[in-house]
Amino acid sequence: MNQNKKISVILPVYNRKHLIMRAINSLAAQTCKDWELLIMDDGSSDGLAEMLFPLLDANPHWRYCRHSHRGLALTRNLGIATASGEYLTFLDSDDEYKPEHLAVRLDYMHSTKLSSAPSADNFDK
Amino acid sequence: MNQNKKISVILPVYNRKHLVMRAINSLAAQTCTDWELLIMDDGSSDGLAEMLFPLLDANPAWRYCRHSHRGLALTRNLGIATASGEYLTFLDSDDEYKPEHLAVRLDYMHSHPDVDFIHGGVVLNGPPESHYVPDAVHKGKMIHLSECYIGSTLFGKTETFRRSGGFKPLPYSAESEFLPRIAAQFRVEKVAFPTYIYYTGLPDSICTIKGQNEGITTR
Repeated sequence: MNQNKKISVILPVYNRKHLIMRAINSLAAQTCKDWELLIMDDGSSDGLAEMLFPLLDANPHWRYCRHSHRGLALTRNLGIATASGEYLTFLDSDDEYKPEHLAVRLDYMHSTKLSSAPSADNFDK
Repeated sequence: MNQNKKISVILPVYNRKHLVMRAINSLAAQTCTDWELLIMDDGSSDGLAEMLFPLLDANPAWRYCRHSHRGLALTRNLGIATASGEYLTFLDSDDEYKPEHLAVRLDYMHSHPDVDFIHGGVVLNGPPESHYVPDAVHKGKMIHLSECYIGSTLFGKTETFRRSGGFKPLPYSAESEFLPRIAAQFRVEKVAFPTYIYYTGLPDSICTIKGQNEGITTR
């Protein structure tokens, strides 16, 4: 199959052409480089695809998927179904990562054998 | 998760805006309607996406995926990775199905639970001389399509396709490597149902270009 990346980052988006590059640029700036970007377009009509297609050509580890508009949950599910990375996470189109976001989470998952979620104390205050 | 269809139909396409609707319409006309269509755009620049997007809105069972141009084998693999149907098969952008294509194959798989993959069952459509294509094994030789593996006729369980490891990124006839490899591990059968209309001799087909490059367009 295609060469798989460690982390699949699922970015669901609907008519956020004006915001999405902030999110994507924050992913491109990660200290951890072993990721694929899955842009899940939930039927945008704002010219998002036309903006993204030339960037796809230049970034082989980006992928664009699109279906008829059906909301965030089912669009995330499509990302889950299509991800090829060992790990999977999300990036909303109006948010961004700090540069160490993926690295610290991957380290955490590697360093604990616990399958349970971290306690609330581990979250940022 | 999303409601899964029985069959995922993977349609890899590259700059075939002028042909792809014939293929899609033949899928829409299937007697078996329990399918999802995965249009895998290998980086087209002919306005294909702009034509398809309004149709996606009207057809929730269609999905469009796109990546940078990397060839047919890796584009088929993306389809294998992303399919959600229990079964999986292919439809090339320049070909079409007869209406019973999916139904007869699904019936066959149901009645032969020990079979992992089936392939075959083409109707050749094109000038007779174009029924000979460059042989993937014997370089410089031509072979009749009836003796070839036609990768787009492969039909099997999605999970089994994933276990197979998919196609190697070969520039020509990746199925000629794929089928012997999986036959060593899985039960593969050739079927005769003549329901896959395979168009030959198109100027932009992979076979035509390969033949021209090797100077062996005629037998």
